[in-house]
Amino acid sequence: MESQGAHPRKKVSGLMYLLLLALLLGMAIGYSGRVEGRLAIALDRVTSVVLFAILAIMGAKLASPETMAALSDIGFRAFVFAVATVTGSILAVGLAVSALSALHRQLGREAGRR
Amino acid sequence: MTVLIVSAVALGLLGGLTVLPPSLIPQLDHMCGIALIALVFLVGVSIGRNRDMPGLLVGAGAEMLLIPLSVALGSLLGSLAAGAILSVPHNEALAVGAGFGWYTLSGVLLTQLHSSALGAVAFLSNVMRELLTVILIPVLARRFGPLIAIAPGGATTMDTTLPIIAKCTDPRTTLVAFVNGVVLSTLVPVLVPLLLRS
Repeated sequence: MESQGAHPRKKVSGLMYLLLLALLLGMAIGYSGRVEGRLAIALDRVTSVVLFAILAIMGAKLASPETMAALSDIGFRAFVFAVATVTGSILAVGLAVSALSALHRQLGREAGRR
Repeated sequence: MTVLIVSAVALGLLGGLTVLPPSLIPQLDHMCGIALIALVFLVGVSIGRNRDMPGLLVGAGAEMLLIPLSVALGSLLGSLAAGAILSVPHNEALAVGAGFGWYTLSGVLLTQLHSSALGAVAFLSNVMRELLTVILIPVLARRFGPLIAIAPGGATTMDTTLPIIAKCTDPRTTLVAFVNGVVLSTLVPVLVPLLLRS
């Protein structure tokens, strides 16, 4: 049980490093100024195509027998959890963002007074 | 954008239900992993093309901490509420919510640590969270501002939902979203076992 539990954790950090590396490499190449004009437009199109391919794969994975079986069984419970967590996150971020902008305004006003 | 997103997912689902052989689905996971890394690289390129990229990194410090914390708190409070409605024990509800949209990991963890029944709820609810997220991002970005669009994604904002955020918001928000995904992904394997024991 313990060794099995450790496995997904290791896989997690592996993928995370790869993604971080991919992002930083992309940022460096983008910042070097070599990706301009037609190449930039082409890359934008590739991004869209890959994105929609991933969304389609996401859909296809839903069609797996396990997911379909789970859907009829626990679909309602899962849906309540999904809606509740999404709603909670949106409300919490909304509060945090408005608090942050109020703080910015306050700091701006104080700096103006000085 | 929303229409395109829904059609892409629906097309995949339809293909999966009709023509694709079920044995192909594990292969799809592999393809997805490679495509995701390529996608995050391409998002990086488009952020980097921004001339004031170093300024973006420095200026977004507060958001990079505040947003993932709020998403985590909001998700956990939401799952507590869901647990109360469905009369699920609070520790199990919190563990499901701590998946933050990462359905593979939270499903596997809870199957191993608790039961396949709870693992299945975690898996499916986090799959649904990801689906709701891809539909909500364009709407939230348009109506409530870019930072709110990061909220529903949870841990997925560093991979699957990052390109949608990149398309619907700006480079600064995209960077915050990536960091948000990294922070929440790191929290999933820590919080799920911890909250289950609470």
